Amino acid sequence: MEPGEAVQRARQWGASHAEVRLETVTEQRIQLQDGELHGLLSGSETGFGVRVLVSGAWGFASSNDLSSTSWETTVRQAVDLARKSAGSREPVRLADTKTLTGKTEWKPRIDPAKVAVDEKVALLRAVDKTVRAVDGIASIDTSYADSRVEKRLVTSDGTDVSWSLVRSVAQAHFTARRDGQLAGRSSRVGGTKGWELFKDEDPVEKALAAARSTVQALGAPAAPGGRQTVVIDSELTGVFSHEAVGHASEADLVAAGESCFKGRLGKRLGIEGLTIRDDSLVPGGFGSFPFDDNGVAGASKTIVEDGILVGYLCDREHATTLGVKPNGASRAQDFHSRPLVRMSNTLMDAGDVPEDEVFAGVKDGIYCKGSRGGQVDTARGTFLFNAQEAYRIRNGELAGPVRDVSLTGDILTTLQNITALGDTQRMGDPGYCGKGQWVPVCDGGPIVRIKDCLVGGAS
Amino acid sequence: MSELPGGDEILGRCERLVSLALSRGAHQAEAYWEAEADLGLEVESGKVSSSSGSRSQGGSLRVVERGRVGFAYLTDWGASEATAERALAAARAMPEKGYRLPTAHRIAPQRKGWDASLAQLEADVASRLVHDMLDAAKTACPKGVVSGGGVGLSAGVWAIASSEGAAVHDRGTSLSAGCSVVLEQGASSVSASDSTEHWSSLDAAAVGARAGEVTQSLRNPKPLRAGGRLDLVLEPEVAHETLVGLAVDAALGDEAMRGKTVWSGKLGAEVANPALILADDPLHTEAWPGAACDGEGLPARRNAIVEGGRMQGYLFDSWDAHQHRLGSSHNAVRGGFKSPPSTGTQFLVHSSTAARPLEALIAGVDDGLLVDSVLGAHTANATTGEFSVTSPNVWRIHKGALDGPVKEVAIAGSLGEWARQAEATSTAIKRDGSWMGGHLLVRGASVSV
Repeated sequence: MEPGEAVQRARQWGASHAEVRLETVTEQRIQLQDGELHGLLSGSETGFGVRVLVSGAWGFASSNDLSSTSWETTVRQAVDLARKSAGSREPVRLADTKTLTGKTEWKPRIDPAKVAVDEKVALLRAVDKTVRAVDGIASIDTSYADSRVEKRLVTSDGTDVSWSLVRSVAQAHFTARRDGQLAGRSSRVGGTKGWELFKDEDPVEKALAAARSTVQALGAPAAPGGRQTVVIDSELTGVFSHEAVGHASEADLVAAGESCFKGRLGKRLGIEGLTIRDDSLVPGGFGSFPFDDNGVAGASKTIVEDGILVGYLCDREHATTLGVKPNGASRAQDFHSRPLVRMSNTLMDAGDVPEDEVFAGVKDGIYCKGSRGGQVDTARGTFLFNAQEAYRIRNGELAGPVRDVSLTGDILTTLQNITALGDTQRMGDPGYCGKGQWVPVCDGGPIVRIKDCLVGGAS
Repeated sequence: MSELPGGDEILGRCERLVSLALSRGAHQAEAYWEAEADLGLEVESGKVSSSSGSRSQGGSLRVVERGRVGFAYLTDWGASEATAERALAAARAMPEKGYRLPTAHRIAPQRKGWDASLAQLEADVASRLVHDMLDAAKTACPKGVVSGGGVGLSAGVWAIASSEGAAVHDRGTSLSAGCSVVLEQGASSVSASDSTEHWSSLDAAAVGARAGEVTQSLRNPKPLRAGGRLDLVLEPEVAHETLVGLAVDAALGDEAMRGKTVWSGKLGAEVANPALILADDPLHTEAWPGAACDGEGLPARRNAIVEGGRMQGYLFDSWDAHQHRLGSSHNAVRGGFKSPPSTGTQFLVHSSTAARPLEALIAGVDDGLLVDSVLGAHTANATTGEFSVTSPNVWRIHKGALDGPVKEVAIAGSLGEWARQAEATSTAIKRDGSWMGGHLLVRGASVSV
């Protein structure tokens, strides 16, 4: 069965709206352990997901069995599930959106499927060899992965779009050891790009810088816990923008009363000049895509402009609930999953403070670099993220490394406590965001100074 | 209805894949196949917001040729020959490491973790449970809203066959419920969640009730006046996410043997409070039934990680064990068919020889906190065992009694420190899918405000 036929069948069986996503993901993964090839695999999976509205209720079903029986069964299941839950909530109404047709191919300059495994292994070995030369590095694990995603989305509104893209990522994890002390850190390069990614951004150089700072952290004291002035690097600014601002602006959470941004549209959240966007069209951004899983074109969405909350990230359903327009924020992990409101590349704009002046304003504080991830409770408005490396700041100068720093706080208070935005925006590392499903994302921003931030460390 | 293939059918498929690989030149081969179906009702704003169902199946082939290992997966049986070729090509690209698949034996299906009526995946069953959960949450916290969560049912079958004798298939069902409640208090909110999973039945109302009760009890939190070194009583889930999770990371055999964890070189050494017990125990009476073997078809076994204060053993699958000329500890796990088996745990148990009722644990704390949840446990440094998390849901303990909720605090620690300072567990055990354990009392933890 073709997706268009499946949509028609759903309509015949009572769906007022139907959408079918057909998806193929083809991947290759390579792992090295201390320079030696440790794992090599490749594979492909094709499947489809059917989402319908019956009497205003959603039903979703999926399968990776492409037989005609399976198509029938899956469409039927989606319709039956929707019918069974009709009446349990207010009927879903979808915001109008432009009907889109056509094919978009985000072709890589160098298709990784045509790059020999030996060349990919050689890249990882180059990272290993360079990093191993750093005195104190005891062990290095490197990995590479590429995937080609091909999607087609057909909806009962008349949208029929196909698109394809390639993502590549290389990462390294180092362990440093000296005199019984251990330190560990990762570095990663990735994007919605092919093999050219590694010519545009050198994973060897990036890994080398990270390895040196890993060794520096050996024997570093624990960071002092408590409220302090902190400066965060571009990567952590990106993580903060993602965790604290991006998630709180997801319309499904806002509509469910699970966001501290509810009811705050038009209100000031932070200083003038503070602007945060989510942009699914950043060229080569790890979180980029041309269309979302509602069939809405990818776009740049402004969440905070000049310190004011001006927008939420919306899919078609929650756009109607909140009385705004859908803006291309609907994503599903894969065909197995129903789409949710998700971010893509979440970026804070650069400000106008020269970077050395951002530090100059700090008498006694902490500089945090690189991210080990974060988490947020959007209902309470609490966030946390961990830095890969950190340094004391004394009178505007870096004054020695400290270990394992986390930054945590109340989102609304912390936004108000931003006191300086550096004048250079940089992209952070690629990553994956979890919300019950994992999607590739990226983020970034300038370096930022925040007063009175709660640092988790030795008390 | 789940309409899954039978165990014999997919075992037969695995055996055919193994034969195919051997006929193409593999010296050894192991095949895995799984089929799953699930159904879920998702909740938003106190109501069922959507219903989902999915079906999938797929398999994988691991081949060994001259001690070199290759892997490939498939979802379309028509691609089995191409898959065997890909797996062999991958093996030929690998260095010769003298690896051999483990010798295994046919294991009869346990047929214990299968609930035939649950396997029908009836939406009415899920609907009844969801509504029980929503009603209980509302009763416990009348002004709160269930902001998220839902109920899920799933059924699955799997099989492993290898040229070295592995031949096992089994099936299982699963039921899960999760509930998050938010209570707005003017400009701020408090919230709490609960969840659980079982192979056959669960009390969804209890999940909703607990989420509601905890949320209700968090109203009007006061700021903690000062941080410092405080005694913490951790909810079982928090103990599992922090100390237990880091202990498993430190006990992964390949990492530990390569000097990459804080427990490297610590076999037999004192690493923890003598009362603390951490073990992977798929044979436990409360363990998920049906786990007769690990992910390579080797018989399941209990592996103590920490007991009597000492590090008892590292965890290995056969591949990791081979790197260090050791034998598998039967700790292979499969995270689906798209990846080869890796080292992990099947049923983690944390307990102590000093288990006592929760009230007694709290009564033994002069100045501390009861910690219900943490943010950021996954950001811990697995190499150093250090972590720094924030806890939005905490109550003060003062002179042996709960003294009201407090605002979020930051908690920092390390595996080394907490394993030694973990003094006792509670007898109020939580059992949740792949783990089980009680509350954990940790003395003198670092808390910042």
